[in-house]
Amino acid sequence: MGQTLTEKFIARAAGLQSVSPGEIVGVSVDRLMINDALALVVFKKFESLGVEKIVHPERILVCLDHKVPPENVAGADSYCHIRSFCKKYGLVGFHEIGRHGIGHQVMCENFTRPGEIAVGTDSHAPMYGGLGALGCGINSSDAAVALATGKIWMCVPEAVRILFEGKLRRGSTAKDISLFMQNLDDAENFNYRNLEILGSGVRTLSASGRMTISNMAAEMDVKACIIEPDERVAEYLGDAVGCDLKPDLDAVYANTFTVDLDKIEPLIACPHSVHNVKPIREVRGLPINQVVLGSCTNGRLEDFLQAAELLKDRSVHPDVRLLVIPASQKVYTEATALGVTETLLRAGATILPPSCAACGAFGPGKIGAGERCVSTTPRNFKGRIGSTDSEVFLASAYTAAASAIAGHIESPKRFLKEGKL
Amino acid sequence: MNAQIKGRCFKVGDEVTANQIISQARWPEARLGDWLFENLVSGAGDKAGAFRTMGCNIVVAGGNFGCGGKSNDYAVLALKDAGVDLVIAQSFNRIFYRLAIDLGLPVVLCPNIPSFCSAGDTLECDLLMGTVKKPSNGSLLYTMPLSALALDILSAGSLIDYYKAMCDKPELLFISKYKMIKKES
Repeated sequence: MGQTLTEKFIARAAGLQSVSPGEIVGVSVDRLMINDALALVVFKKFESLGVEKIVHPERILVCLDHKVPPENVAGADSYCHIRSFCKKYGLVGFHEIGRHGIGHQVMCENFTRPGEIAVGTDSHAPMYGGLGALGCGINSSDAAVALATGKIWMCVPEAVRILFEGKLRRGSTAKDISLFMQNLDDAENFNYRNLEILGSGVRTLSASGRMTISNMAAEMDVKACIIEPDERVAEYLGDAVGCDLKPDLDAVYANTFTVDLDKIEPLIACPHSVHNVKPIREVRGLPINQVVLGSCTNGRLEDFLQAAELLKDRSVHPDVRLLVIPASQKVYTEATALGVTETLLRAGATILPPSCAACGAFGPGKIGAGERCVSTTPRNFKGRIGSTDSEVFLASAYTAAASAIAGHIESPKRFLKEGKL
Repeated sequence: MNAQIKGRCFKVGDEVTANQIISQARWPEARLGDWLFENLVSGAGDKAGAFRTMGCNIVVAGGNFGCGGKSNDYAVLALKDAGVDLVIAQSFNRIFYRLAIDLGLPVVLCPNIPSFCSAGDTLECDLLMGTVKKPSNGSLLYTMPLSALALDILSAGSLIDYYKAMCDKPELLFISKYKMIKKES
């Protein structure tokens, strides 16, 4: 019987000819990302194992992203512990502040390769699937045992196949695809399954856009979201290893959906659920206080280029704050070299250092009671970006920029139509 | 691990998030169990230990229990600290399911459980047989069996304890002894 990409990747990492859904196997971890949110717990558990060394230090990244730079002494102390653990055990994949980024982004910047089992101590690890890897989130116990053995246990999931056809129209983005996908089927039908995204439409999407889609698949409660890798991934990585991986023609899928990219319009996820997705026209005009452009979902160069396209020679509305957070130092440097950061600054944006910032428990950029925010981040649960009495709307960088200019929720079409571009 | 778990059940609905199990405002705290389900236990208000006073050790949940994308241990630690021995749910969020197994909290998947029992019912669950019984009327429900490796990890106490028990035979790591017995027999 044919194998899905999921089954092929897991079988290879388990050293088996084939695996079947439901089976639990031990797999070798090709890449492991440990972030600052869980690092100390991982290290404490690792040291409780009585092991002298880490088996594959070269496969591990340690990333500072949730609390960077530390705002208090406890945070600074925790970073001291992280640094000394990394030195002691030879974890050369530690990324110091100033050479850092959101862990998921750093994993995708010349580290993770297609076909690999790439895991991270954070729920948005499915993002590595944008490069054709099997990315999934693990917990601190898994990571501690992986440091000691190079392995984790994994249940082989059934896969759901999604075929992308056609090409996005101008103004629509990978973020809009990912918002559309949230309601593709009952949520129960995705839980504990993998997504495999195939089809001719995939080739029209950049590596960055694919990362957005696999990142947001985390909100569908899938285990992983593998997007079939091709030459665009090879180009992004600068090498073609594993970029021709395909499922068998007779692979068995739990379900198949087709998404016509031509029909995707700019969408927005309304409070307080990622699944509460509407066309922008339904909420257009709602006044806003803050716009966030950043995160592991949409804090890459492509997103900044989209925002700069609209913000060039325009200004952020007087009643709005636009916070820009590059996903990594690399993104920040490239955006600066291209003049994008200057465009955003001249328009009235504030740029924060690379981090998760307000998206999460620890970072800066929160909103107050009664405030409304348009954000390119992945989640909008009550209180996600601040007060439990605030509202977060999730959208693309285009929509975020259009809203920042207008001072209310606005479709990018309004500014793309003016023909200035 | 005790394969037979008996006790009184506390019922929650669908889509209970990790944050509803234990609020982010409460972690990290030594006695997380004091604040388990603080917004779901009626009349808990700001009273510590409200869940414990109900005398429940089994949680019965609807779909996607433990959702919301929290990868830290607090939700499971809170359940254990409050005296919960078992969670039976219509379905689990995968992050929570993995955490529960890794931290040694038995979790049983049972699609028909919400309609099978009412809050406060006494239930008897057999993890090896894959059954839930209601002694009050003798009714019986079959659950999805726990995988052999999950049983190994739960029997050891946690993933960390499982590793410690296996570290002198690394070639057998993640290869279940239950499975080997089955193959031999």
